[in-house]
Amino acid sequence: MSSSLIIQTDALTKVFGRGRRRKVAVNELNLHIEPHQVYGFLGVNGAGKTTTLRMILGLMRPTNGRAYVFGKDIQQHPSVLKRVGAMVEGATFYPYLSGWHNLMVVGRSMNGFDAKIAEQLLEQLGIANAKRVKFRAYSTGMKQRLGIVAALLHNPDLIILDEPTNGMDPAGIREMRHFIRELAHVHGKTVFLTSHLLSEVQATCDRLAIIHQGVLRREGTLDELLNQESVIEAEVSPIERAEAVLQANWRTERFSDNTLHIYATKENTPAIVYQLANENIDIFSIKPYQLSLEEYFLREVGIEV
Amino acid sequence: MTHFLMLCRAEWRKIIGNRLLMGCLIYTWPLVGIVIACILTLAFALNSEARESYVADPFRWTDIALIPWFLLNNPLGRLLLIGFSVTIFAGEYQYRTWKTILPSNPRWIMMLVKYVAMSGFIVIALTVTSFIVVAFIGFMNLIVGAPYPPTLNINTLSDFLQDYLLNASVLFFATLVVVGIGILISIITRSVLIGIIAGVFISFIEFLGIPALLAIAAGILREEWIRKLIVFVPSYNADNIVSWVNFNEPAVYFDVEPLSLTESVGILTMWLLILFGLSIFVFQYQDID
Repeated sequence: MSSSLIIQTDALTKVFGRGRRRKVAVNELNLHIEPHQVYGFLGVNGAGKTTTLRMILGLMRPTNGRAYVFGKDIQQHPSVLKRVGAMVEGATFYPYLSGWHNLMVVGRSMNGFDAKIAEQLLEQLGIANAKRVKFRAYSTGMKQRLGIVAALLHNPDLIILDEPTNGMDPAGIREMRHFIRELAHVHGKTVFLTSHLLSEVQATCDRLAIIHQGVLRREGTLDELLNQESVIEAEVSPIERAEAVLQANWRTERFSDNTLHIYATKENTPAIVYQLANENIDIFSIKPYQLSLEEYFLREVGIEV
Repeated sequence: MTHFLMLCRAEWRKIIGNRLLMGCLIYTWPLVGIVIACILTLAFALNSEARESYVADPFRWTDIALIPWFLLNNPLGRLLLIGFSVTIFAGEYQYRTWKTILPSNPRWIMMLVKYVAMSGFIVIALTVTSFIVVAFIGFMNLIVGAPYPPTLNINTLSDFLQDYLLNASVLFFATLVVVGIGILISIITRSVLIGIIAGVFISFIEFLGIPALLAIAAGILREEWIRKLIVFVPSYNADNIVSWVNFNEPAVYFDVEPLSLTESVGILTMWLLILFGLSIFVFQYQDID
C-alpha cells in the first residue's frame, strides 16, 4: 500500500446473493489513484462502478479485499473519510427541507456548517436563488448541483462524484466540466468520477479506468489507452479480397462498405500497400486512424455498433 | 463531544423540518389536551349537575400533569409515538439519505444521535403538554368556579416534581422498549411502514394478550412456569415500578410472585440495552444503498 496514493484498492470484491442468485458485482479490483487529478471510472450500467464507490465510502462492506483512502484502510480508519466529499447515485436529500437547510444538515454531519462557504458554492454552482426552495421542488439538474455543493461543503481533499452531470443541459454539462477540472488543477483536489458519457470523460479526465462486469479492463491516461493499439484506415476495393489478403498478418475490421480498419503500426503501411497492390486491389486512400474514446470503450466492453 | 452535539443539531433540524413527523408528536399531544379541556368546560357549562359534582371533587393539578405520560401507555398514544420514532430511523432509507450523511461518521454514533434526539423530542413534547393541560384545566376550573388543589407551596412542588420525574421516567422507558422493537424492525426491513406495523402489533399484544397468552399456554402445556414469564414483559415491569414508586407495593399479576423495584428496573434496563445494541449491530453490518 502506497501512502502517496489518494485511493488504492487491493483485490476489492463484492458478491451479492448466494447460490443461483450469486452475482459478482466487483471482482478483485485494483485501483491506484494519484493526487491532484481527475480520474474517470467508465463502465456500462451495472458494470460495478457505483458498488466500487460505495465500498470506498464505507457504505458497503467488501466481500474480499481492501480499500485505502489517503493510505488508510477505511474499515479500520473510517474517520479518514472526513477528508472525502461524495455524491453517489444522484443527489439525495430530505425532500421536505429547503436546499439551505439540507446543506446545514449535511455540513453538521461532516465537520460543521460554514454559511459563508455554502453561499459561495451555491453562487458558483448557480443555484443561490433556489436555496430557500424545498428540495422536492428542485429540477434534476438543480438537485445534482446541490449534491455537488454538499460534497464540497467541508473543503474535502478527495471528491467522489457519481455521474455528476446527469440531468444537466449541454451548457450545464460544459460548465460542470470546467468546474471539475478547476477543482483538480487549480485547487489541488483529487476528483474521482464515474460516467457513461464518454465525451464528458474524454474532455474532463486526466486518467481513466474501464470496468466491465466487475472486472477492471484497462487503466491509464487517455493517450496511453487510445495509442495502445494503432489503427490504419484504408479505403479499398474490393473490400472482401482486401480483408482476405490482410487477415493472414493483421486483425482487420470493416468500418464501412469500402473502408477497412487494420490493427497495425504506421511502420507496417508499406507492407500493407505492397500486399494489396500485389493482389490488384485498388487503394483509394491509406492513413493512420485515431480511435475515439467511444470506439475504444465499446471495443473493450465487447459491444458492436 | 462537539461533533456529537453537531450531529444532534443536524438531527434536530431534520425532525423540526418534517411537519408530518412533528404533527405526529409535538402538535398532536398539546392539541388533544386543549380539546379535552374545552369539551369538559362546555360539558360543565351545559350541565349544572355535573358542574356541581365536579366543583365538589375537582381534578388535582398534580394528577393532571401526569396524564400525557400515562397516555403514552395508551394504544393511540403509542401509535403516534411509534410512527414518530420509526420515521426518524427508517426515513433515512426512504429518502436514501444515509449515503449522504453516513461516510465519516461511525455508525453507532449515528444510531446514538438518533436515539438521543428522538428521546429529547418526546420528553420535551410531553413536558410541554403537561404544562398546557395543567394550564387549560386550571383555566376551566376558573370558569366553572372550582378550586385547583393542592395549594402550590414548596412542599407540594417538591413532592410533585419527585413524583412527576419518577412516573414520567418509568412510563417513558417502558414505552421506549416497544418503540425500540419497532425501530429495530424498521432498520432490518428498511421500511417505515413495516416498523410501525410491527411496533403497533407488539404494543397491542402487550396490552391485551401477553398475560392471557401465557396463561393459555401454561394451561395447555400444564407448565406453571410459563405463566411466570410475565415478569420479563416490559409492561409488567413498568406497572410494577409505578406501583412501587406510588404505593410502595408491587403490582399484582395473577398469582405470580412479584418482583422488587430493583429487579423490575434491571429487567427494563436490560430490554433497552439489548434493543439498542441489536439496532447498532444490525446497522453496523448493513450495506447502504
